[in-house]
Amino acid sequence: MLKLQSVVTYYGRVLALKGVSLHVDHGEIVAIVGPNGAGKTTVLNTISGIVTSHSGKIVFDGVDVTGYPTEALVEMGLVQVPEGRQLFAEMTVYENLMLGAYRRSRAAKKSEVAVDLERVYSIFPILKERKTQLAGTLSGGEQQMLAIGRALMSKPKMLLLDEPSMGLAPLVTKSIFKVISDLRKEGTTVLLVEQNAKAALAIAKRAYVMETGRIVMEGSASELARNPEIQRAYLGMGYRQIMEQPRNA
Amino acid sequence: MSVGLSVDLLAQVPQLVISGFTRGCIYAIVAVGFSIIYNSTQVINFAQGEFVMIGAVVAAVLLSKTSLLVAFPTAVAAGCLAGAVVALFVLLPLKRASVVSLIIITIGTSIMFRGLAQLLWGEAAIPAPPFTGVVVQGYVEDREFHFLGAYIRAQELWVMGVTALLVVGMHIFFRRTILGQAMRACAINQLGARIVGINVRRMIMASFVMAAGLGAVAGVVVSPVFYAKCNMGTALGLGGFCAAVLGGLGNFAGGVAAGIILGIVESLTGGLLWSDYKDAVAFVILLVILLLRPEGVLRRRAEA
Repeated sequence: MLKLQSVVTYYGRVLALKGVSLHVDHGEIVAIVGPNGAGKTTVLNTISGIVTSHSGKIVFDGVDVTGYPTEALVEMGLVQVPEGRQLFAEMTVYENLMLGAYRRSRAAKKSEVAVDLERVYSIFPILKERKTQLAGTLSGGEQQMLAIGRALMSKPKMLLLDEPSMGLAPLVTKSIFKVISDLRKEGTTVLLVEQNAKAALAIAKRAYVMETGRIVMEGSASELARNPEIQRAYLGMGYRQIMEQPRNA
Repeated sequence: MSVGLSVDLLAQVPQLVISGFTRGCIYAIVAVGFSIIYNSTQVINFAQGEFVMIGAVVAAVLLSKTSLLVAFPTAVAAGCLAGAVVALFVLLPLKRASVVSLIIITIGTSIMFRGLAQLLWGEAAIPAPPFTGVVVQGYVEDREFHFLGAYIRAQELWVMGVTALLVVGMHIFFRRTILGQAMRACAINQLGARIVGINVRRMIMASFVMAAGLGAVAGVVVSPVFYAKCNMGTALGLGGFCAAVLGGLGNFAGGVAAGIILGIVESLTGGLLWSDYKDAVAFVILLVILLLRPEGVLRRRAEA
């Protein structure tokens, strides 16, 4: 579905990605974990065309999309839910959702958009309750739901999720991650960037570990979750916890 | 110079209010133009008054040769073209420049437009016939209506009517259409707008064309009232800017109200007090606002 081949990206003069290769198959959740500043967000921003790669190749859905502008990628069904959500704070929940369908607003029938709106409301009932409220007045969890809902309004084939758990209470994170794995079951492919490696590895099938602009490890999510090095570095487990962890994790 | 208010002077008040209201309508439209561009780019486009001038001059030149049905759309198209030129050749290529340098560049652009107009059409005022009127000896004379102790010309009603239509139209455009929503979205969060697939460059372009087209419409309707002149844009632009700041930049309703108030205050100052200082009114008001309430007088506080 998505393939990156030795992608190199600069942020100004800083070399942010030093040749990243990865792939996501159709219907998979793949996670990218790693410390702050490792380049995880840059990977997503490069894929979505927010920043342009210096070299390398990006293939989406069988098409070489290297250098494509964001709006073309959105139209192809590759949609990002960015870090910090980037909602339209002074617009209502409803207006935010309708702008999610912006690329389709001319081609798609109004009834189709209405169906998708109902689908988003059924996934996140709280958004329906708050549809006339300004997005900036929502709680953090509701804002994350709105960001995902807005992305869903464009009928994505693949979602790029950037830190969906950031700043959220554990219970809220749990319900957001439940939605992400439900979306996968309905056929949406997901590339997930997370600091909360534990939650990410729990729902992902495979994962990549990034450090300083490179992928340093990859494998199945359950394998990586059992890896003592990963556990120490990213799962916040001390030595004792590792020893005491049940085998069936 | 005597400043005493005699009964004679007071009798002029209704007439002054009406002519001030007319001028205020133009300020209002220019203020909305400032807000449209400010909203999508954070830039204050000081060439805004020149769009009014272009509309007025092109319409006045054409009205002497053809009908209103030809002159009106041509003049508005000329204004839109000027807006597109500013966006395409001045603002978008310099996207990395700071907002302050962009603003200074718009001042330069405004001087350029004025100079071009002067070269093409000369410095003299160009009279334009009113839209509706009675033909008297081959000359179109405007109708006049008596209203609350003052005379109001049909053309002034045209100005007010068109202003009302434009303001209501803009409101509907930005609240109810997906394109208008997308332009607002660019203003609120540019990264968010890109992520949902809005072409931000195209929206900036659209905002310039719209603001310029609005200004040109104002120029067309007002040309029979003021006469069209290549240097008319400066004063109208400054008045409009003052109104936009007074109403809170980006706030359409505030700018419209402030524009009309400013037009009336200017007219009353000029007619009743000191006609020499009429043009200073806008600056004095602007200074006072900037000192006391830099966020604008009519700006709504952020909703909780």
